[in-house]
Amino acid sequence: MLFPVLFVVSLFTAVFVCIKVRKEQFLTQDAIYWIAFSIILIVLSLFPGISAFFAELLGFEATQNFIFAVFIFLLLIKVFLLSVKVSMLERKIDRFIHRYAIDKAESEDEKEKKD
Amino acid sequence: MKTLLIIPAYNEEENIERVMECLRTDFPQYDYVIVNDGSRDRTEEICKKNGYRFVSHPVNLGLTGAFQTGMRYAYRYGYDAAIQFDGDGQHKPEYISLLEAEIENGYDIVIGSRFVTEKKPHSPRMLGNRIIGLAIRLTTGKKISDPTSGMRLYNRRMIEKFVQPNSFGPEPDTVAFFMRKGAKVKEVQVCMNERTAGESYLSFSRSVAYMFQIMTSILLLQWFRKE
Repeated sequence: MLFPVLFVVSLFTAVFVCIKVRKEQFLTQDAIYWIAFSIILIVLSLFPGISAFFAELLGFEATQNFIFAVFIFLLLIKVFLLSVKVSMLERKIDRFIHRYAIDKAESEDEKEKKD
Repeated sequence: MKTLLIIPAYNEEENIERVMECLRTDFPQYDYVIVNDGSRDRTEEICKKNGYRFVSHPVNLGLTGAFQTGMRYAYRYGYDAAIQFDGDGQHKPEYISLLEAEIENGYDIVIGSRFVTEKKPHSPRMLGNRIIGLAIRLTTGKKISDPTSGMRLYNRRMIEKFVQPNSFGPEPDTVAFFMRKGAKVKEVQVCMNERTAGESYLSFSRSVAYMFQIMTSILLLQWFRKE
């Protein structure tokens, strides 16, 4: 039952990502991750043999565990990258606000001088 | 020497006028800038009304953000030194000249410390202070008697470091980091006022979170950090 369910879910994911890209709610570089993600899911669900092979090779007790491990791994990478991105955004906003505050005070000063 | 007093102010309508009047009448030799950190009360209005020198953040960034704006201000207008001066009236301006003297003696950071000659009380409030002091001693080999004092004067070289995109905050971990990178730090005995109005920033849970953040920064993160 796992693989048919996985197939349906991955198909939904792919369609959902495509809709979001169409509506331009995604930057292309961000969409790439999710498209790759859904392709991996579709491939894994269509060919259970792949999971079985790697589960055996890596010593997983069950094929399902291998699939869960893949999920966790991919999501961890995404969370990590998002965390980096949030930090960078925060830093950019901070720097922007520092500059903005001083520039604004400066331009108000100049205005006063002219008046 | 041109020193800038950076006065971070977040919802300080009760304090700011008193602090500023004292500063303007008794210590007119000092340049200052109030960094209004997105206050939602009348702080900005009061600054405008009284003609105080101030810059305003459109949103609240927190103490670190306010301090960094102040450092950028000091950098842009060519100040030789900058000091964080709390808008709630804790810091006393009469000690600034003592701190300035040490900058002129070639120190990079001069800390207004409560415990150079005075003994540190064994209160729970000072526990965090002791632990951070110990961590600094472990990583730098030097003793800082009052690492959590917010009254720190930085010279031009340090001001330049604070405007780099490194997000250094006005916290003990920054001092420890710069010490490890060779900054010369000196402590001068000062006396501080207790808060007279407003609420202290540090509740118990916040203190614990703060300690955790500062300790991981001093003990772990600094080894990987670039100047």
